[in-house]
Amino acid sequence: MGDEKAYASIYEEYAQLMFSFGMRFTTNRELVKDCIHDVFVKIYSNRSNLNTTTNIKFYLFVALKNELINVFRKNISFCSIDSTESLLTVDYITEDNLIDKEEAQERNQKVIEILKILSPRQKEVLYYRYIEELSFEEIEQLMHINYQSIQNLIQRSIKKVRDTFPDFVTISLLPFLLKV
Amino acid sequence: MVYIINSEDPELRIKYQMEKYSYSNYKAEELVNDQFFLESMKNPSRESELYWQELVTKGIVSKVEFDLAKSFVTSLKVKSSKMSQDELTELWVNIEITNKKQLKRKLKRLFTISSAACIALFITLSVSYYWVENHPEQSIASIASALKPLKNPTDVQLILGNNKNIAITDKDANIEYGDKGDIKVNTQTVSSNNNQTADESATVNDEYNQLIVPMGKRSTLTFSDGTKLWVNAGTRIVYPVEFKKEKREIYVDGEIFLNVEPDKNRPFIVKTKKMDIRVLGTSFNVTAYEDDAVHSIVLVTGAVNVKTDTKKEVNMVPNNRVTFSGKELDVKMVDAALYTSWIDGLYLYNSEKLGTILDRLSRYYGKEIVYDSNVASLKCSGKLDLKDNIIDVLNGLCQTAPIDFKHKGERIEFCLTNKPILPM
Repeated sequence: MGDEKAYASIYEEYAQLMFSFGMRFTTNRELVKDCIHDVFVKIYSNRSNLNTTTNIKFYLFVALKNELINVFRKNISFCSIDSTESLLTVDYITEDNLIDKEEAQERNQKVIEILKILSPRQKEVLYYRYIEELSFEEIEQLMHINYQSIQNLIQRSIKKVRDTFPDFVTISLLPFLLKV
Repeated sequence: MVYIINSEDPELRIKYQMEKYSYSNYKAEELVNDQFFLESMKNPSRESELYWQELVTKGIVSKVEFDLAKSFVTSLKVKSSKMSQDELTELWVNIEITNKKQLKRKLKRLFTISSAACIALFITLSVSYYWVENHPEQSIASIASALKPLKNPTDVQLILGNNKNIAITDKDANIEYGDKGDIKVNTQTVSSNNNQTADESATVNDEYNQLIVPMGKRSTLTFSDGTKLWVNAGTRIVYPVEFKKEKREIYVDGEIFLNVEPDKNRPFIVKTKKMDIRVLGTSFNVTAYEDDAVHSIVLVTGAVNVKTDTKKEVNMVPNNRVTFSGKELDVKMVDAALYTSWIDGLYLYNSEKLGTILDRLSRYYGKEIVYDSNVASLKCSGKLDLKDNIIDVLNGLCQTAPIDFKHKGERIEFCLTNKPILPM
């Protein structure tokens, strides 16, 4: 019965994060909620067989993503998937607590432009790595690609940024210099 | 995130970083893939800031590369969609409802395997007066179904409201509730929960206790009002931690014998899946296995009015046996003693189908017994001593009927034989 409390606290801690994550694959709120529902029901009915997992967040993300993909497969009208492309969309916004507002504005603009040139797949990796802060092994499992591919995706993103915006650094990094 | 080494000593940590990774001439590409770099940017500390600053001033890492990597890592932010508090709560409620439904389904499956259709509900009454009531307000039945456990336990389980679970490994469990809320199991005090009401996190479920007696076990239960229950194998009882002022109400899935302490102001109500039974003070026997198809009531003495969930009604006299299969009520005269003998460890039967007898023994001893329809339709009369072990009891049966059995793993299989039958 002590499981019940742990179960409820997992919901409290992660349901909101799961929702944000799920909403990156679709705009259908109800669908995401349904899938979160199914993930938690499955956890409950399999609770005796569950392995101890070190990263609950990652476990829940994988479960939710699988749940969503199953729905997408069954009902293609939910979204337009190009199976070779990433399902994930990331709209990057920049920090608002920067010291210099004008600089921040400029930098914002740059970042948005840079992100436009990245492929969805690259964006997905960046999202997992730098926002959700998942490990490489976890990203490998989530995206079904190997370590090297992840590294490549990240490195190519940076290279793209460097090639497309040679002046990016000097423009955008004043705030950091001021900070340090 | 896992730190590479213990951050208790920042100086040591940074020294370690310096030695392990020179970061010499690192490009932005390499920096963004470095765990320590990522952590320093996401959760900077005074030390890590100084460390990276030093690398840049010393020219070990180029300022351009460092700044590119830093802005890359730190400027990424995502707009998040959020659920409202209402959405969060609603979703959680739906999850809980589905979970409870699934628990129910699972348990049903378990029961269908272990119990074929057999005797179901019989109630024997020795004194006074009772009547049946039809589904009132938020019933104990719905609470009982919500509290159904996932698995059939192998030991007697006493589940207390405050999420406390007591497993009783002894062969016979005698449980006693004192009038101060203390609980004794086989005369040992196991809980004194007088702080029950003070517990702020108490929910509806915390107001109910549950006793589960698995197949092959038996138990007795004495409530604080002095009412005593004999609980037969494969039975679940749900009851409030404290009886209400106006009534004493329990839920039964299985078979019990009750000796109810009289209390004119507080009728004692036994609820089962198909019927509600109300008493003021009497001794009677209830058998109501939820998953059995046919339910029956046997009255020993007194008078009884039975109402079913289909609004059928009948007045019973002593030694009446009422059977109810969900449609029609059928009344017959029987020997009531046949149906209450289990309390004394005896099983009496008169021209009973062998299938019914074997099902009862299966439940009583907690052993799976299989047989075909030829065996099931044989009729037997006699007496079995349930204190004997199951093999002795089954051997006794084999001497009186043209049948034999063998062990198949955990199961016992019965078949017809051509051997001569001894008179009983």
